Amino acid sequence: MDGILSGSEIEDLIKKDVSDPESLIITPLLNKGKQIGSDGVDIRLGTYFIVHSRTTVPCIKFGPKRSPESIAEVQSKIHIPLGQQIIIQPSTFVLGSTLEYIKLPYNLYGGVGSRSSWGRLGLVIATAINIHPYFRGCLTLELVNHGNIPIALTPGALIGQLILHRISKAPKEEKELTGKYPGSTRPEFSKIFEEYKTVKDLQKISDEYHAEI
Amino acid sequence: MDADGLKQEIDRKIYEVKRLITNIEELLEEKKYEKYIPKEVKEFVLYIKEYVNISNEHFNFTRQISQETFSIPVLTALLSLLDTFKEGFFSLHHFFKEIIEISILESPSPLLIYFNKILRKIYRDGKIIATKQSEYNFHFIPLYKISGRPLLDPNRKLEHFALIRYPFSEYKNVFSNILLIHELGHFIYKKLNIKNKIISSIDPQEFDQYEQAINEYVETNYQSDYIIETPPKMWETIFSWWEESFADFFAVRIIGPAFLYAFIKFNLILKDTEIKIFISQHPSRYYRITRIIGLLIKDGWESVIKLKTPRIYKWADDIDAFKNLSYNIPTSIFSFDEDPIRECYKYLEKTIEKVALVTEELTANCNYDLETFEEENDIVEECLKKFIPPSEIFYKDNFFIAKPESILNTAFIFYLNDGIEQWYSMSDRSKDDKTDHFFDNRLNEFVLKSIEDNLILEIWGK
Repeated sequence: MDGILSGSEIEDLIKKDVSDPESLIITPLLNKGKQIGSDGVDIRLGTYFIVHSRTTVPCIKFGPKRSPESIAEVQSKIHIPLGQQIIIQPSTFVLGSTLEYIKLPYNLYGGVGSRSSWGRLGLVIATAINIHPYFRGCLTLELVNHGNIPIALTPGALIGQLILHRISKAPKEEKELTGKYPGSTRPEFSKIFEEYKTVKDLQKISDEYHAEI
Repeated sequence: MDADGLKQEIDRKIYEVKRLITNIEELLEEKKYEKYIPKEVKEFVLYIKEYVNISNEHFNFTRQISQETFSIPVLTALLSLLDTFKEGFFSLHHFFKEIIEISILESPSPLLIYFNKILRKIYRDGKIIATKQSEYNFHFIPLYKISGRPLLDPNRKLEHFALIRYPFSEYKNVFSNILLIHELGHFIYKKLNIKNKIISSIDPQEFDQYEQAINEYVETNYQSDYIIETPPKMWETIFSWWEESFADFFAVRIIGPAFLYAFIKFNLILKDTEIKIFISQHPSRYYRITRIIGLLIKDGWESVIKLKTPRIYKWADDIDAFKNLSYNIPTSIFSFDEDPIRECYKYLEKTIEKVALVTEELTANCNYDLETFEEENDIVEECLKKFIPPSEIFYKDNFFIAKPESILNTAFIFYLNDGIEQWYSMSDRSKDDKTDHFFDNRLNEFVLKSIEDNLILEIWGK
């Protein structure tokens, strides 16, 4: 992997035609001049969220898609339009996403970091920080308020930074839309239930192991 | 009843109405903690709070007067005033809870924000609130009509609100919810008194002739009790059909062919025979489709429908009425009402051009035209093919922002031409995965995302 792309390199890639396989899409950039820095792009908070709802479900656990324990039972999707705020209570976890939809070409690899200004208030924006080539979608943000007082977040606020690397010998894939969540424009419920079978297999192995003992 | 009896009656009524108010206040208090509600609902809740305060002041005043006077006419008037209040509260009851329970949760929120924006271009103070309903249909409910009494709307704020209901099973489907714009047309028709505009656009002598012809027809053909009810009913029918046609034309002028696509898609679910039924509230869907197509052709959209959506064009071309423009009323559908409806149809035909002209004038500064579509279609389509929401895209040496109308039309055309098949071929999902509607949902989300981005970019000053 080559070094980090500079702001001007990013700008050149953004200005490639949408049909160019090497084009980089980061849209919308509300303030290109300020958002594209010397070595990355500042990204903003989007308008869709998933919050935990009050529930009688005792815990989240692996189960088939429609089981009562499934994740959708304990989470709700909400839309907060520009101009309104979402309040994140202390010790609360909220899923958000970036306002920008990102498309990486086959030869770019990305990473997302939090902004320290938010961290100093107790807000941690932990995310699956690696973005692979061909990625398409708004990045999912896992927002946790570790502080003692509620934090009001406004969609459109600058929330993190995107850093891009070029891959020197990047292979071109035939299938561009891969993964569980291609093209997501908002946070989505975890699809961990898709791994239910694996978990069941593990449980079986465990049962057999204990039976032998 | 003597003065003391009237006073007791007033006290009892105040007690009853105040009990209703207290219950509403309690609901409002619960709502105070609900943060995630649409802006229009927040405004509605504020209005109700204001109204509750005014009502409370009014009751105190009424009680004070009733204690100080022994005048029977004054006490009777106060009693009648309280009855009006009570009636008003029952009206309010019809929709109050339904509205305050709306949350932003999973609603087609960006589309509603966009529709509210369109509404305000034509009717500055207008606000629409949308709720899901059980019935598989779209409805418009004018709040001012239910509670239009002066006492219920002291500051004339409630009259700016309209409630629109959509089928709950379609809440995710942008292409179905395009039909909400037709309901917006109903609101504008009522609020801007379009009926009078249409009447005044008709030569008064001609109008008198219509009226006379209808009366003569009724007198000649109907005897007994039916004659008493028929004449006003026939005019009401024509006025309702004007309103329905106006709402269709309005939607076409605002959104272009996407409205036709949405209308056909929605009606395909109905039985064929239902499509041909005329009822007093609206002309048959068959008639409406031909008129919608007629207006689109007049506005130059024929080539788009023909070339971009050949299947729809073929479908429309197969309608006899579209071919020869003779709008025959299907027979064997009506029994008792067939003849009056046939007469109404004749007058609708004679006046429909006036409805179209009034719509054209009203939408002159917010009409979505062919030129804009042709400028924006290629880039929006290219984005969709590449699995990118058409928000702000670099195109021909410039950053380009597509209009919501272009996004809706191009995305609908993409959908009708099985564009999402291309997405399946780009992905590692198999054909069997289609039942989860994954890419269908993605297309809907892309449209909502792009429309919302467009609104945000506009606020941001781009």
